[in-house]
Amino acid sequence: MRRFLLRRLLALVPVLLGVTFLSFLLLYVVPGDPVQAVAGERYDEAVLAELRAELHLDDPLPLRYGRFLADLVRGDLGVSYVSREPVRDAIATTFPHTLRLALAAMLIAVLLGVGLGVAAALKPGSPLDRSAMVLASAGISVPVFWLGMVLIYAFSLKLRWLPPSGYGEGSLRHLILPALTLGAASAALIARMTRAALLDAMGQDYIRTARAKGLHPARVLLVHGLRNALLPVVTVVGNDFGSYLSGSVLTERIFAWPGLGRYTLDAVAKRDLPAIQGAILVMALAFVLVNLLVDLSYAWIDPRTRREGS
Amino acid sequence: MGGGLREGWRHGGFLVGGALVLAFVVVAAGGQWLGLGDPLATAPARALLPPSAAHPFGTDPVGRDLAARVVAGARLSLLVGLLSRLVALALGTGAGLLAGYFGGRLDGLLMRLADMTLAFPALLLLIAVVAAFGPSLSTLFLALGVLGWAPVARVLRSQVLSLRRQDYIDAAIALGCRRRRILLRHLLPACSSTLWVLFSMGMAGAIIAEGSLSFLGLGAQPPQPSWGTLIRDGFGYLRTAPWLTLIPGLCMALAVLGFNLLGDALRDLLDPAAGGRPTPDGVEV
Repeated sequence: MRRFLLRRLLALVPVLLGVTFLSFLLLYVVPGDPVQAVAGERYDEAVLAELRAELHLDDPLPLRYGRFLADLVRGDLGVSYVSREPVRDAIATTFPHTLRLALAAMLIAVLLGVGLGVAAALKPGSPLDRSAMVLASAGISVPVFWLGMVLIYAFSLKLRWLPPSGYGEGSLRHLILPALTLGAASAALIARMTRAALLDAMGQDYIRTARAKGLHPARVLLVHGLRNALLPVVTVVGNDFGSYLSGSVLTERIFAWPGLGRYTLDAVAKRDLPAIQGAILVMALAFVLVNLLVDLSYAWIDPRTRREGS
Repeated sequence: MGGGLREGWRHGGFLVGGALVLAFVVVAAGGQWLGLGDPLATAPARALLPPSAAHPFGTDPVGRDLAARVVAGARLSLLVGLLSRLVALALGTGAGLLAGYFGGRLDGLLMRLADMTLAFPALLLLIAVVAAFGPSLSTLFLALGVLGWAPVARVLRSQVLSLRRQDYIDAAIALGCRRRRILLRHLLPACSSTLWVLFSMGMAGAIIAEGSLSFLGLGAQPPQPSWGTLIRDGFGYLRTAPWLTLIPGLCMALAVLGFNLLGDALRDLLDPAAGGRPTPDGVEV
C-alpha cells in the first residue's frame, strides 16, 4: 500500500505542474494588454511602464511561471482587477457554498440512485425495472441547466413548494432544487450501475449459499448482494464529486447560488483575469485531489487494483 | 461491419436512437423548406404568443417564431457537434494510431498528455479557453474538438495494441508494406466500428457542451439562435412564457438521448466485445 501511495503521489507531480501551467498560460495568451485592463481608462505610457514592471510582465516566461508557482505555494492568488481585493479571499468565501451544494447533490444522488437501482434489480424485466431504467436513461441525457428550469417551473412557479433561487442564508429549502438538479445525472448513472452490479452479484455462488442457508430474501439481497455491488457506485460517487466542485457552474447560474462557479462566470463576464485564473486553478486542483482520493480509497477497498498497470 | 448492423431492426435502442437522430438531421438540413418563416424576423404585434396552429411552438418577446428558431438552432447545434467531432476524431485517431503502433517514448508522451487533458474538468477548460480567446462559435467548436482528442486517442490506442498482434498485420509487414500503408489501410479500417461509436457518443457530449456554453453566453452570440441561447433568452420568461425554455430544452434532450441510444446500440451491434459479450479475438476484422 505504501509503494502504491508513493507511486500515485509521484504521478501527481506532472499533472499538478500541467494544471498550474495551463492556468498560468491563460493570463499569458490572452489577446490584449493586461496592464491596460489594470490601469483602466485613464492611463499614460509612464503609468503603464511602471505597472508593467510592478507586475513583472517584462520578465521571460519561465521566470514568471516560477514566480507564479512561488506565490501559489504561499497561497497568494493575486488581486482582482475589478474589486482590487485578493482573489484568495473571494474564493475562501464562495468555495464553502459550492462544497455544501456538492455534498447535498451527492447525498441525493446516492439515495435516489441506489434506491432506484435496488428497486429495479428486485424483479428484472418488470414494469418497475423498465420505468426505472427509462428514467435513468433520460436522466443521463437531460441537460443540467434545462432540468433546473423544469424543476423551478414545476416546484417553484406552479406548485409554489420551494423557492426558485438564492442561498436563503443557508436554509434547507433553498438547497433542495439546486442539489437535485446537480445530482440527477449521477443518480441516473448510479441507478444503472447498482442494478447491473446487483444482478451480477446475485448470480454468484455465495448468494446461492446464503439462500440455501434459509436466510430471508431481503437479507440476502441487501446484506450479501448489495454490499458487493457497491464498489462501482463508490467510483461514480468519487468521480462525479470531483466534477461537482467545478461543474456546478451551470447549476449555480440558474439558481443564483453564490458559489465558486458563479464567481468564475462573473469574472469571465468582466474579463477579470486573476479571478478567472484563481478560480479555475482551485477547481482543477480540487478535481485532481478528489480523483486521487478516489483511486486511493478504491485500492484500499479492493487490493487487486494496487498492482502495476491498473 | 454490415453483418452487425443487419441485426439493428431487432434492437430497440438502435431503432429509437436512429429515428431520433434521423429526424433531427432531416429537420436541421431541410428546415428552410418547412415554411416556418425567417427565424430572425421580428413582429412586436405577435409577441409572446403561446403555441398555436399558426405558431406551433409560440413566439418570443419580439415576436419571432420559436419553431423557426428551434429549427435554426438544431442546424447550429448539430453543425458545431459535427465539426468538433471531426476535429476530435482526426486528432485522437492520429495520436491513438501512432501511440499504439509505435509504442515506446512517443506512446508515453502522448498518453501523459492525454492524462493531463483529462485531469482538467472539461467544462472548466472550455470556459477558460473561451474566456481567453473571446466567445464565438468558431472558438467553441475548435476548443471542443481540440479538447476532445484525449478519450478518442486512448480508446484507439488500446484497440491498435490488440490489433497489432494479429496475424494479418504480421503478414502485411512480411509482405514489405510501408508503415503508412499498414496504419492507414490495415489498422484504421479495422477501427471504423469503434470510431462510429465514439462519433455518436461524442455528438451527444458536444451538443450538451455547446448548449451549456451558449446558455452561459460563451458560445453562439445573439441573434444566432442555438438551443443554448434560446434557453438562455427564455429563462427570464419562465413564469409568463414557459414554452420559450421548455421546448428548445426538450429538443436538445431528445437529440442527446438519440445520439446516446444510437452510440450504445452501435457498440452492441458493431463491437460486441465492448458490450461485455466476448468474441474470439475481441475485435471484428
